[in-house]
Order: sequence, then structure tokens, then C-alpha cells
Amino acid sequence: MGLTLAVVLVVYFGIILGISIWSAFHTRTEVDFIAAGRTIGPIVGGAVLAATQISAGTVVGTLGRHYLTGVSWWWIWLGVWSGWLVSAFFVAPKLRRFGALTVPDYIAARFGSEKARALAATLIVISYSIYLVAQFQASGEIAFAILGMQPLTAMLILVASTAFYTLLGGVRSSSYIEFLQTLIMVSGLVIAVPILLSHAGGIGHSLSFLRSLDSRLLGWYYGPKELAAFGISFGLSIAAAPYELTRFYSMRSERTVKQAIAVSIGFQLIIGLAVLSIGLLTRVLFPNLASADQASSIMAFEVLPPLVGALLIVAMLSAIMSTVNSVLLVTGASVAHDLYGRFLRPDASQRHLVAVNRASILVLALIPIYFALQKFGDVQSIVVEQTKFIASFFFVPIVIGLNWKRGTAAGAIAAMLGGFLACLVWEFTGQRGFAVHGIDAVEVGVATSLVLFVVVSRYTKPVPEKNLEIFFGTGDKRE
Amino acid sequence: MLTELVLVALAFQLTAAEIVIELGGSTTVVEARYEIGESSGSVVFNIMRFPGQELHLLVSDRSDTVESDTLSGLYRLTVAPAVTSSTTAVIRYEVSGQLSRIPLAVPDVPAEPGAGGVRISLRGFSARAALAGGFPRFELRDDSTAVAELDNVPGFVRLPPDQGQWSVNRISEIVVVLLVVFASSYWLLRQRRRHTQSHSEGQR
Repeated sequence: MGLTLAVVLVVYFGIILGISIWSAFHTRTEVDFIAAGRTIGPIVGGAVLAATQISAGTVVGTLGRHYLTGVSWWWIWLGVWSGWLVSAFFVAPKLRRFGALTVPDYIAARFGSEKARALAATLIVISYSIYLVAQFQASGEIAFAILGMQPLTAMLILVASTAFYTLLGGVRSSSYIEFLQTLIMVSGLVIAVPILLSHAGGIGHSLSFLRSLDSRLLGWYYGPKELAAFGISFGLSIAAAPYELTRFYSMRSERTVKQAIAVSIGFQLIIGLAVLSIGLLTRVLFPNLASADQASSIMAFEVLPPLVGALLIVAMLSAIMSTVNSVLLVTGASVAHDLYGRFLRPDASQRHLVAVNRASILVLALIPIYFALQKFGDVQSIVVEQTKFIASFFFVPIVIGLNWKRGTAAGAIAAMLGGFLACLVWEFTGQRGFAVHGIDAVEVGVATSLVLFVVVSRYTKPVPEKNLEIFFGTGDKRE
Repeated sequence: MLTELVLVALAFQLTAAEIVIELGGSTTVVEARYEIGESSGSVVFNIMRFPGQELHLLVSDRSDTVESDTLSGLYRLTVAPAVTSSTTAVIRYEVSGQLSRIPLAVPDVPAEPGAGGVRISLRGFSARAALAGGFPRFELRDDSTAVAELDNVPGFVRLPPDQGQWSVNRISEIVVVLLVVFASSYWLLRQRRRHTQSHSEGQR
């Protein structure tokens, strides 16, 4: 296994290096760096959206959750796909027509407020840094389980390799690399299922064992109320997730964006079913693992044949790298484009902005490592917490803001701040009483955000018509 | 059928497990010794039930209290030790019938992460049998013994299939190689076609 894994990793990183260098030669302007020159088509675009969606939270966290709790967690996907559909019909086409570079660009243009832009950029940097903590923690878990490597070393290697291709080629290299990573993830996960099934002795026997081990594994480990809360949390955050939305800007047209979302849901369906099967079958093979987060790496290293195991390990790495990469791109752009380029050096040249973007990516990649080493929770829990915050402060200004003309800058700022604070307060106080209240922090956050958006907008000055034209009228297409 | 069980032990973390599987013609005997960090009241073990297979617990001289429960997919044993301070559990049982998979007793306490304290020895099988198709992954120690060292206790041992048989493992590795070849060829062809197109457009 060791030699096979080494060869597969060398080939994998060799291809990534090649794509990065090729992309670097085609990256000259900020539009090239942040939006790949708006050249991405539906297949590559769909794979990119799937790769950003499928993270360590999926291949380590979700797989571990299925291992521990069984089938019911799968219903969360319905929330995820609802979020994608909302995005496809109510968000993506308008954002792509607008043709900006970042989500704070949209906030600033739609509401005519640079303050709202600054707030959005700051919240993006904070919330996605938390997301990076989960990704780094997962990389540490995998490296420790498979190679016995210290988590810090693994995290530094991950940061170095991901930052390298992100810095070199921006979204262009990321898009082609993520296309490759999605194919690897799908192949690795799908091929693993029949092997595990063959070891376990077939479907009927496996189900019978799982039912006897814990009847909730094949039934309702989580109740409908909990699943709805988790599903809503994922759905709301995906409909308005800046690191997904930014990718729409790199695609050729509005039509391409819709097609890419459909392709992405197809990839996610395959990956979701494979992860469910692997989680359950791992429980049959190893009924009592010390940590559910270990399920994927143990499966890859101790059960699968060397080549397939190596492919699955690369698939896990790919999932983490692609998400880290997307997050770094969006946080780097928030710092360089939305904060530095707008408030500190508005006269900065394109070359200067790209350089600041690259420096920001490097710094923002290193900070979450400290927090990942503290292990505040399991990977999936950190991902869930982060999605709640994203949904609480972005869903309303983005989804409602794109579809309700009367929303104002003051309303958007109140919605973002109020949603964020309400989610935070409920999470650390009222959330403990989730079982009593039956209301999750994300529901409180989004509801607060919505009420504030509507009420404050009603009593403040409307946004000038010229700002709304591109989103609600037949405005010019900025390509 | 479950008859009797011998074992003692208990509690919170599995620090080591030594499992020896003696393969015979029509029956297989499993002897498993578990070291558990601290003692407690009782511990639960799950043993997977496979179709066409029977399991008989073998008697020993220890007088522990054992409650057994036979479910459709597993045997569940709850064991309270005679000596409450004991931290060792020993389980012996015989498996007959379908022997391609040998079930193991998995304690309901987690193993120490990263300790690699679970050792399974497989004795008495044809050493030349292909180890690649088995589960977990074994290494040959001598002509008739193979050993697997793991962090966690697996639910069962799957004996390697007969040599020459097309295992799912082998097929999956071929599929991986074919996928790589197909994907690289497609990519190269596409790049070549694009290059030819841009070249001919340039000439026009």
C-alpha cells in the first residue's frame, strides 16, 4: 500500500503542478485570477460546483455520521439540493448577469452601499476561516490515521500544496484541478462500494446485522425536526454561499450556470449515495471505531486493495484541497478586492491587487491551523455550525435582496448583523434547549435577518433605480 | 447456538486484543483475549451471525455471569465478571458450517486510537492462498500463519478466496487502471483536436 500510495500521490501532484503552471501563463488580470476570464463551461463548471460542495465535511464528516447514525442523515441532501435549486432559479442567473467578481461586489452594487460591502467582506473572512478549521482538522485526522503523521505537519503540507496552485493560477487552475478532483472523488467512492459489499457478505446480511446492532441505523436516528433543522441550515447557506456564488462569475453565461448546477447535483447524488453505502458498510466491517471521523481513512488504508485505497485517499485529499482552495479564493478576494482595493488603495493597479490577493491567501490559510489543532468538535459539527452562520447573515440580503426591489442598504446591514448575532446568541444559549424549543439557531438567525430586512427597508430611503436596473430590469449585461 | 461463555472484563477503553483463529476442516476455533483499561460492571460483546453458520461458545473454568441474546443479525453477550477488578476478557468459541467468514466478538468499548493494539493470527490455512482478497489485510508470518495488526477489532475475518479466482479486488484494480487510461487518452485526443482547430483557424 505504501509504495502504491506514494506513486499515486506523486502522479496526482504532478498533474496539479502541470495545470497550475499552464494556468499561470494565462492569468494576467484580476478577472483572470478571480473569474478565469469567464470561460468555464457547464461540465467543468458543474464539477467545480460539486467539488466546492463536497468537502472534508462529506468524505470524512458525513461518512462518519452515516457510520455512527445510519441512513437518516442522508435526508440532509434534500436540503442541500433545495438550496442549489433556489440558487439556480432565483440567485445564479441574476448574479451572473451582473457579472461582478465577488459577492460583496453584488452587495455594494445592489444596495448602493460601500459600508454593506465592508461588512459582507468581513463576515465572509470570519465565517470561512471557521470552515477552514474543519478542513484542516480533517486533513490531520486522515494523515494521522493513514501515515501516523503529526496533524500539524499534515496541515502545513495541505496549506503549502493548495496555496501553491491557488496562488499560481487563481480560479482558472482551480477550476481544471477541481474538475479532475471531482472525477477522482466519484471514481474512488463508487469503486469502493462493491468491494466493501463483497467483504461484508451482501446487502441482506449487512442490513440484518445493522438492524440488530442498533435499529435506529436503518430507521430514524435523527427525528424529522432535527433533520429539518440541519437540512434548512445547509439549504439556506448553499443558496447564498459566497464561495459557490463566486464560481458563477467564472462561467460563460446565465444558461451555463443553470446547466452547471444540474450537472453538479448529478455528481452530488452519486457521491451522496456512495458515502452513505461506505459509511454503513464500514459499520459492518468495524462495528465499534474509536472515532467516527476515522471511518473513511481506515476504510481506505485497511480494507480496500492498494490501488483503490490510494485512489480513495487521493479523493479525500481532493475534497479537502478543492474546498480549501475555494474558500481561500473567496476570502483572499474579500480582503484584496473588497477591503484593500476599495478602502485602503482604490488606485491600486491590477498587478498590485493580484499580488495582495496572493498574500492574503497565504496569511488566511495559516491562521486556522492554530484552531484546528485545538479540536473544538468533530469535523461535521464544525461544518454545520459554519453553515448556520453563513445562512443567517447572507441568505436574506442575497436571495431576498435579488428578488425584492424595496430592500435598502440599511435593511441589508441590519439583516446581516442581526442575523449573525441572533444565530450566535441562540447557538450558545437557547440552542442548549433545542430539544425543548425545537427551534434551531439557523431558523432564529434567518427569521431575525428577514424581519430586520423588511422592517428597516420599509422605513429607510429606497435604493436608486440605476442600482436595481441590472437585477430587476433589462439592464445591460456586463460581460 | 450459544451455550455458554467464559470471560471477564470490563470497561472503558480497549487497550489490546489478541485473537487467534485456528482453521480446521469443518470447524474453526476462535480464542480472543481483550485487555480493557479499567474494570466496571459489565461489558457487551457483539458477534455477527452469518447465514449457514453455527456458533458454540466453549466452556472454561471461570464463573462469570453471562447473558446472551440472539438477534437476527448478531449474538449479543452481556458479561459481568466474577472478579470485579479484572480487566481481562477471554472468549472462546467454535464456528461450523459456512466458513468463508469467521465472526469476531467486538466489545462495546472503543479501542485506544492509534495504538495498533489489535492482533489477529490466522493459523492452519494454506499459506500459499492469495492474501490479497481477504479481510482484514493479513501478512504471512510462516507457512501456516498469517497476522493482521489493527487499531480496531473488525466484525469478522474474511478468508482469502481460492487462488486464481477473480476477486472483486482484482476487478476493481483493473477498472481503476482502465479509467486512468481512458481518461488520459480522451484528454490527449481533445487537446490534439483543439490544437489542430486553432492551427487551421490561424492559417485562414
